[in-house]
Amino acid sequence: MLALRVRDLVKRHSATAGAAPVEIRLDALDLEAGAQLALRGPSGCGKTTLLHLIAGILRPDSGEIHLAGELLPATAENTRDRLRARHLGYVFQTFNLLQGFTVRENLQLAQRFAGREGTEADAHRERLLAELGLAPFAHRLPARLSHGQQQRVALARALVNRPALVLADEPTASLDDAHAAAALSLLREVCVSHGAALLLATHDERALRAFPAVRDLKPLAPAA
Amino acid sequence: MIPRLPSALLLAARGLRQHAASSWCAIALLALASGGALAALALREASARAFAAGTGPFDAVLGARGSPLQIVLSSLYHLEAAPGLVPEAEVDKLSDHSAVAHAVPLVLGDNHEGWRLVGTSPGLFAPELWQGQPAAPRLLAGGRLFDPARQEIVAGSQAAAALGLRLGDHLTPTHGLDYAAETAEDHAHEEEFTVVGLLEPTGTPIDRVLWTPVHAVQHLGGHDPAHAHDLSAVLVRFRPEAGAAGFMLAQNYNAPGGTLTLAWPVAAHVAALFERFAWADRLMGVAAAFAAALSALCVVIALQASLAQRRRDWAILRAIGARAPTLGAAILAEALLLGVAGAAGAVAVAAGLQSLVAWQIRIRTGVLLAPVPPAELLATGAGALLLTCALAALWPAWTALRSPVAEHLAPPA
Repeated sequence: MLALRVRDLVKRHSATAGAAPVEIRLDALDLEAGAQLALRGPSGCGKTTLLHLIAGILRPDSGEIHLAGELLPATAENTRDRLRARHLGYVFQTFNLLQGFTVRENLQLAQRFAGREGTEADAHRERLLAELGLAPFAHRLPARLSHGQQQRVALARALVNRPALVLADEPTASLDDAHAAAALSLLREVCVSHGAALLLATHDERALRAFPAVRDLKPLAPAA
Repeated sequence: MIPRLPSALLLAARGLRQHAASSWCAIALLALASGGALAALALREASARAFAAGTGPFDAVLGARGSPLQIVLSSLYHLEAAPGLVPEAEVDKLSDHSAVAHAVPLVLGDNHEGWRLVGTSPGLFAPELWQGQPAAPRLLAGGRLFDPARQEIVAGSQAAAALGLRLGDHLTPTHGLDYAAETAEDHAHEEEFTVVGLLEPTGTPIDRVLWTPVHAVQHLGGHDPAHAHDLSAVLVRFRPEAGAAGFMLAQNYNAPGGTLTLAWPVAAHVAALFERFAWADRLMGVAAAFAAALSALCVVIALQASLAQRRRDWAILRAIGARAPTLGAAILAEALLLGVAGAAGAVAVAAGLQSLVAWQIRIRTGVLLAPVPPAELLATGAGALLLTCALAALWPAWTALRSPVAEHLAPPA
């Protein structure tokens, strides 16, 4: 089964207010369950926007996105929210952890919004925390964790709902070589062990070298 | 672990905790603004009611020609000087009137350390006069009423407590209604009075007076012997079947060219006093509206505080699957939680202010006000506050619903 299927995706947008609109275009992209793919492109080429489109955070102007076989509708926001919560994990460049909630609660909230609560969900969350070495810090607020620990929390939150697809936006940015390698290795291994496909957007050559498949994004074209 | 609360309530509670400083400020401002307005409204109502009840069993007061309100205030509330003198014969004249059940003389003009010494007859304490009244002057055990022929005192509860009076104590009064310690010796009378009775608290101005026989005051040394048979006022209680007698008597006494004034009905004159402060009602209305506006502003400020952080949190929550209506409901719930805490504080502030003012009014006038605002007023105030908070949250909630998720996922520059 395909974790992700994209067809004829078009999104016009302006990077800043008043700037000339540009067009992000992706004709076709298929990602099998458990597969891993890196999207390469320079800064400002629309990588993050593309990930937001796939996550249903942004609406495309045209085209189709299927997550785990389900069509991400362009209009029904509630359905996009539900599908995102159930089928997709997102590791943001700046982690985007909720600072008012502990590590464990960050994961619990993601489970709650996906409608995955109960004994089995609790057990899965605790296993994931232990697997990523976060169990001793589960009661801490994110601000009291190191950069590496926060990254692992972001990864745990992305995986806590057993998603079909994990999106990662520049996960190695601002990391030195050793930490970048470790972070990337962990991300890939955990996705494999949990059966989630991984789509990573980066311009970091260190990350791209580690990936079995890399796809170059087209440069942005002025909007018609 | 996350408590098993609905998501909106959970997010609201955490939002308040995360922005604790602005939350506490908002709650304090809500409590002070709303509590102050509630207390002002409650006190206005309570004081009008308490002063109206302070007239006791009396329907009318006869005094020298002058302002009926001054006559009422000086004779029933012991707050001002009487406008002049009334011949003692008027008591007998009124007592003989078929419509009058009780006519009680009063003589003012002296004090002891600021507490008024008022001459009256034992008839003031007659149980039948006070029948049906919420409070009646009753003697505490061990005491007795004064002998009309002797210089004896029955002390009101508040005066007795303030002066530390006990049965058998002796005191010498000072001339005049106002007391100044530095000149008291110059104005002191030579006569010594003995405390023979102490009254139970009544919650009326009676508590603030040292009661003594009429003749004991009239014949104090230094008083003009020419007025040794004059009174300051006569308190009148009509018979229940008297009908329009009060009106007829008032017509007679108050006719042009007379020397006396019959303040009747006393309750109407007290009500007229409060009517004079109708502008205060409008001011209270403005204060209440101001409090509501301030409350709304507090909520908006609390919700809009750290807006960049909040918008980012909203975007993150949306990105991990929270639905937009959940966030809108969370903001509404946060405002309502502020409102609930603010309302609890407002009730405490209103009760505190009212008991403080009631205590001061009791000390200064003897009038007993309810120590806390009525429950209906508090409930209405709390409801209005919650509604204000909910309305104030509409704009921030709408902002959250429309907040572009992708734009706020990036950290603020």
